[in-house]
Amino acid sequence: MMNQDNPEPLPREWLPESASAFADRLGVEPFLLRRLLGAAEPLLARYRAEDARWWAPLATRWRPMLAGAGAAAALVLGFAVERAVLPASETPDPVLAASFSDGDLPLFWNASHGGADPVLTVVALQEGIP
Amino acid sequence: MESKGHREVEPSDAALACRVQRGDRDAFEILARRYLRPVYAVAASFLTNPADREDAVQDAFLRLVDGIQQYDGAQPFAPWLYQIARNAARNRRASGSPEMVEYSEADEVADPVPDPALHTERVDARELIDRAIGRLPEQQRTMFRLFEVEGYTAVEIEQLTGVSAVTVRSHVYHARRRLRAALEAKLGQETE
Repeated sequence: MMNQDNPEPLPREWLPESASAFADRLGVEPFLLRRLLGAAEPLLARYRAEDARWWAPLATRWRPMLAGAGAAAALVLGFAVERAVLPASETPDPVLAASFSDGDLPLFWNASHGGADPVLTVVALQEGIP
Repeated sequence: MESKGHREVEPSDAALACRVQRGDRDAFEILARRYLRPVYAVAASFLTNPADREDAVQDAFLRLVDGIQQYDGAQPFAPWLYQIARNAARNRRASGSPEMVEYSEADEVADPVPDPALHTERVDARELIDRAIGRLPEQQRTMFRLFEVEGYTAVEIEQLTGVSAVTVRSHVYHARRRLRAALEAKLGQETE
């Protein structure tokens, strides 16, 4: 194991007391263990709390996929809302239509996308409006 | 540093570390009991004051818990802990008084800061060697302490530190030579 010219070990009695012997002599170990456990407990408690959340592993492992799915869902929802809202937004403003027609009832009706109104049709026929 | 027979009935370091990652107090206690003495021995190779050693041990285990989420269970646990313990002890030593001053090559010939106590007839060889050990280069000092003072085998030190047994023996060899030279320079024939 050792080389032939390896210097002789120093006499054990010349060497310092081992840390283990010192710890045994002064009973350091039980005290130090209690101290370590006490000091580490807040961190361990935090880990336990994080582990207790059942979704924590999912959130960690699937976070990128969840983010993508969330973005896709937001897009789909956005389109759906836009479609639902669009017909109402396309309904002409009656004030603008009245202003545009300048008193001309058929023009007003056309401007307001009203289509064929029975009353206006009768009025138009009676007045000879083309 | 447990015997193989002991390890067969106890959970592996990696299994315990995984449990500590989830905040398992019992697992941490088993790890602390298992490695308290080696970590204390590492601290003792940097620090002479018992209170400083205990603080360094606490620093090391707290850093262990703090960084346990980064521990890769596929890697050996003990060398990872050894690095943490060594850094904790080194930092503790750097923040305190410079109680250990490492050797320069010139120190083997003459001590630049002669201590009158070392030149008296009543100098205790143990105290002299303790001081000389404290001035060895870090790696030599740690390996020498673990091997010669604490009584670990080279293979056990390899398992603990990740340093190969051959390198451990080499460090011990050079440490012995330096200590012998230092002693001969100071005490002459008394060491023979």
